[in-house]
Amino acid sequence: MTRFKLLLKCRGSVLVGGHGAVPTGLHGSHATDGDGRPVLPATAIRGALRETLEALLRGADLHACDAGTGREPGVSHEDAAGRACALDEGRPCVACRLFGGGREGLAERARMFSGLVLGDGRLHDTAARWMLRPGVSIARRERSARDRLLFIRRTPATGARFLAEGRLLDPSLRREFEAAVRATTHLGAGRSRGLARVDMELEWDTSPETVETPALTGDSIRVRVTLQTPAIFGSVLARENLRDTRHEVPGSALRGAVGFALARVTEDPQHDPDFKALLDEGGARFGFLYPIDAKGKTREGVPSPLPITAAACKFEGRTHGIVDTLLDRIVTAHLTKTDEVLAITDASARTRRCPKCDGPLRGIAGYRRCEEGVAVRAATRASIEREAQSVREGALFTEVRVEPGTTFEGTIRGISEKNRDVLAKALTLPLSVGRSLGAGRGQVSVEVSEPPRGASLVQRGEAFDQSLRAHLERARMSTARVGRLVAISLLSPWVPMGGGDEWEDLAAWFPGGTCFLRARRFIREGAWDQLVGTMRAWQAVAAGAVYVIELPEGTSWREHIATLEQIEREGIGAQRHQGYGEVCVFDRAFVPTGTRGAP
Amino acid sequence: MKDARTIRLEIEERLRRAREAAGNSPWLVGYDVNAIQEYVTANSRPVAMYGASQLIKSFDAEQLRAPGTIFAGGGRGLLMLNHADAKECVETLPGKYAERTVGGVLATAKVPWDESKSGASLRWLRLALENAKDAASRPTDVAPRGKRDQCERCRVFRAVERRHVADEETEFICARCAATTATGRDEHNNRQSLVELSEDGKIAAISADGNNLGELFDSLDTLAATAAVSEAVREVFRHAHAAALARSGDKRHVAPITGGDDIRVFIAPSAVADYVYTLAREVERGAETLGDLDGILRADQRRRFASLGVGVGVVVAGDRTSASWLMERAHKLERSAKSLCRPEKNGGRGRVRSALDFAVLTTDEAFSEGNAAAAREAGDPRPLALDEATWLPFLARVRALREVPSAQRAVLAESRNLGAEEFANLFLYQVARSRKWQAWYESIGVRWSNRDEVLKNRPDGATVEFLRVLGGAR
Repeated sequence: MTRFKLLLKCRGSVLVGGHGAVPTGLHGSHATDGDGRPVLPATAIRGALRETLEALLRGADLHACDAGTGREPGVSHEDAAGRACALDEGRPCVACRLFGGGREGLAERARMFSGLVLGDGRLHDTAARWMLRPGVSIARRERSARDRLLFIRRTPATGARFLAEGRLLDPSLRREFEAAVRATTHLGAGRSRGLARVDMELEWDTSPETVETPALTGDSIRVRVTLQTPAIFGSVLARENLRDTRHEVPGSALRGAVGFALARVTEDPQHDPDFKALLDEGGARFGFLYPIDAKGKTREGVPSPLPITAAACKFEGRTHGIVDTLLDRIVTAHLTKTDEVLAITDASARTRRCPKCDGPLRGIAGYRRCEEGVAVRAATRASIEREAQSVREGALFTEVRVEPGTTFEGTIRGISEKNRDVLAKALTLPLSVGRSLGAGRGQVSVEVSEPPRGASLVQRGEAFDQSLRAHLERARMSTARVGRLVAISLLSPWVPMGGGDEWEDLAAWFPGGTCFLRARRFIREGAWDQLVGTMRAWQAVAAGAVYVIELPEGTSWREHIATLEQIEREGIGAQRHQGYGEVCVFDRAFVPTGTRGAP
Repeated sequence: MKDARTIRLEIEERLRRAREAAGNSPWLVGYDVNAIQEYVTANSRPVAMYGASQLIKSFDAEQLRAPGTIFAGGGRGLLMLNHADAKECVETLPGKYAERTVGGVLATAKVPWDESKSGASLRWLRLALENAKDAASRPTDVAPRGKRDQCERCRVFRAVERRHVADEETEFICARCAATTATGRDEHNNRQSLVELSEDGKIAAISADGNNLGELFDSLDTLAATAAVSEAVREVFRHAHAAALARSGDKRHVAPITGGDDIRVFIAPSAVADYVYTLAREVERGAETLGDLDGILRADQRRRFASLGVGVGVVVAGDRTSASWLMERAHKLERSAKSLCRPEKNGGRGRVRSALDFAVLTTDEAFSEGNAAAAREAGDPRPLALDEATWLPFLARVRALREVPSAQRAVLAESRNLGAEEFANLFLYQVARSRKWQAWYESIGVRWSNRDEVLKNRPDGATVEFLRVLGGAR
């Protein structure tokens, strides 16, 4: 694995469309980054390099498929649609090994989809950014400008230089990569108008990477990752031509990032005992990483989604603070007579209105330590059909990316003593999460620390009981259930084991218990198994769901402390190695501020 | 539109029948469809969206025929039944709904009815229904085993049948999409794609919702008032929607949900300006006309009802964009619009009854949590009040800007690339040499020769963006 820098010097200017909004009045614009500066999209650079390499390979009488389609140029589409490349004596061709192909699962014995990671080309030591290039469409017959056909395009300033950074993951392809770089002379559109001429210079970086190996001690760690490049976390429900992103890093993506990083430096990952011990289903549990914003970075506590019972000002949202309605809902579930309704209306008036402006409340979704929301950007991309020089059928799509700089936090649990070293090693390797890794997406920096230690379960339970009792007393209702009600909230999605009522799964932990109240939503979850290229999907209860269990009369949650601690420690349901089923008992979010007891 | 007296008589008749059905142990039953918007827009084909709406509508219509029903519409209903029937209804209604809609989820709740404490009974039902919505049964889930058997339309369920679409084209779809498509097919709604509604490759998604209705319903303490206001609101919005479509030239459209005070419409962008303004005017006028609903409402309730307005969110994007994704964003902008309709907002100029927020989503658009409004520049006037004093001058500015050549408007984009003084120099130069710019300033009552006024009144983000909604920008 070797790092490199690729300097791209424009002779004249370049135009890669589609990636940037076209400002009002213009008729075309080159791709822009989040700050409005010109950028060379990694996909465009890779496309240009690939096209050159394919030509070089064919010139040397070697097999090279047509842009990852698995077929030689000229073979009809219908014959070879969706074929994984096997042109090189049953293996993918060199171009596919270097740049990847349309393969859903890894090829046999392969450890990566693409031997090259190459990021966007960023504007490099160039003061001037943009230039406007007017043009006129000429009417051939009249030999003059057509009426109203003045067009203006915005391109990077003449002579702009861009720097792209990357890694060659497969050192055996170094010669071919260098050849492609040397022979590539054009990139982007507008060749007949003098655009697209580029010179490329490749500089290998041989300096050692110094990353301190984290010292892992306990059975769980807190992981904080910050995106260095845009990232896409695939959603299970892919819509027609929209690739939306999740706003969190699923446990499967974190686990996959660690697995791929380790596989690259492990002799035989499929049979390596340390590799398997860490990443098999019985290994460590890689939790979901949830976004935290600048304010969230300085706070403690779980970063997971807000409970479904959370509400905020209808007009100003969480800038006016968050109110939790679980205790009110429990009181409502206690109602037996119409007379009691008036009492609870008075008692809960405070939690039914915005505490800041007295406006109405409404349910709010979001993350506990991310008030500003996750910044994303949509970009439209097209796959170009080389022969026709137009967009490939069905290959124009919009992709939504999480912006660089976004920070996510979560935990890895269940780390056994023998797994610590290999996990510590993995966390020092370059990690990328999500999709389109070959295009440099999802590169992260990682910080590891001790997991947060909050109030004990008993302390939280007592604070919950105290608040619930006060709430019921204010509503002049019986407090007989206090001490018998257990509130369990989901910190990550839960995949129930059975296909029926999900409560039955939970009931198995609490014999004789009943479901007093539940507030939840169902979502579709799933993950790609990249080894075999198949998607597994399942119905899950969304993170933030809340279950209130009523224990049998004459008992108390104190008699179930061991069980409660176990489900907090180990989680519930299926797919726990991918972070599903993390729960919190007596979540402090349900207790009004000021009565939460010890932190 | 039905008049107040007709509404009152209808409600009184339904109440009489319901009381008869309930006998001596009356209970109130409420139902509410879960995730109605996701259900309706799951399949982007207009015919399927229309079909999904029709399935919900037919379920409501069936409930309305039952003797205990006081109100049913827009996926919500209110019934009065005896205890045994109420119990059965709460237990069986979700199943009937799931069967009708092929897996839709319905929440139900029941509470005892006490005529002498009607306000408390109604409040109890609202609270119980709120809890029930989050405890509703698990949705039927026939997940695809992989990409190959995923429904090609909604991508949610397992595909079970291959259907002929057009010419030799077929699609592999799930049972729900098959049902919604079959229901939606009739002579007026056989469109295959939203593309058929678009202009220059663009389509508009509109999401509208009544303002401050929660507070209005909270103030209603009799069954008659609750049912009558529900009916009146539905009537006002139904009429306003029809009037708005007529005013916008009856452009081709798809209106998947028009129940209660919720309106969702996909329409050609050029119709947006007329549609939203007429909708707001007609909602406001309709509520004023119905007054106290022929004596059903008290004075304070009448005041609240008569001040009914609407919050409208509009998103314009490429016509290949997913319908549900578009509608989600329009809904977020609708919330932004509604935030303007508060007593303390609008800079002390009085309460805004109706408001609009809009966005044109293009590639490379930045937004936060799906909210395009979050990424705007400071000073952007959105959301805008949909009243004469704000909306009409705004629209005039936008329409006048159409006359400025696009090459001149392009100069505005330079404000992001140049320093303030450099941009001012460039822009003033263009205004000084362009008769079209000068005419634009004159049309908005600004002297183009006054340097400071020209810079202060240059077209803002909302003006430029709404020009893209209307068309003519490029």
